Amino acid sequence: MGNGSGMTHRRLPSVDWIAFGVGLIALALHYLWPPLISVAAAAVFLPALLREAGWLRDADEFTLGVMRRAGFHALLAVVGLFLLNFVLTHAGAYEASKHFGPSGDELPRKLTLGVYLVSYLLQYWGARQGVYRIFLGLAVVTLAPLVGFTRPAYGSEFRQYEADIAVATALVMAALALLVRARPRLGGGVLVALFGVATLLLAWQARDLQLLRGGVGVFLQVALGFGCTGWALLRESRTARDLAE
Amino acid sequence: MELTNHIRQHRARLDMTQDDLAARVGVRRQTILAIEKGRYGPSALLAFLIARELGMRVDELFELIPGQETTWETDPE
Repeated sequence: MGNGSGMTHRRLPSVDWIAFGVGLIALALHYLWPPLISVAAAAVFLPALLREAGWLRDADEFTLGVMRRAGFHALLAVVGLFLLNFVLTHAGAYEASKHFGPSGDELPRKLTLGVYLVSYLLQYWGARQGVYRIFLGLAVVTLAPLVGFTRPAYGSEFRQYEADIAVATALVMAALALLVRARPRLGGGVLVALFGVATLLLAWQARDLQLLRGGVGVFLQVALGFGCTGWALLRESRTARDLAE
Repeated sequence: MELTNHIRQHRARLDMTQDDLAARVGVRRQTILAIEKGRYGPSALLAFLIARELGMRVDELFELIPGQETTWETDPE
């Protein structure tokens, strides 16, 4: 039960909204200045840390449960990554395990942040609203670095190519968001199918360990997200259908 | 067994919004929404508080539906 300290009449409490805004801006701008990813991490975890320490008393039993479960999912993801790193190192994909994970130490940071955030939002908003808003947010974040490309110093042909890729990716994300909102079961099916295709590609890459090394990073950052969100959508659709019957 | 509830119907009967009910029992609107949609099974304390605000007994508001495999999961999915 919550402590009833005036936290109602808001979809998210003000602390979460402020942290969300700061985190989103930091995440978008870290393409221009990489250390900003630390600000994004602080924005994601600081409210949870303060609540767990008892210094921030604005959450009820549902929100605290969501927060703790998201933390558990993030922990599982990091442990899974450690195991994957161990297996790939011993399979010869890496020369030595001095670098953590398939992409140095960047992947564990991104995976921890991503899993916590996605898990939290899917539980808090429900799969349909959660996936819709997450993909819409990703479309915005994907477009954000274009601000940097508009500077004259970045006006090369190469940057133009990167900008085109960013716009195309954002359009795909926005299309997926709209599909999920209109037809959640179909959207879930499409996301799971994309995950399946990525899994097959990864299995094909396993024939070449160097290819596999790059593929694992993309798989964990993109395909795994598609798989988890798609599965959540299908599961919610099935539960809703069962309750309706 | 599946835990279902009739909060939405009784809230509508009293012309009470999710925000109103949430404010009365001291939780967020999203918590009431999650309970109504069956995504979250509330604690006994919260269930009693909601029942009191809606002028019902807990066993009138919450119902066990047989036929499904029993799960002890109360955390949201």
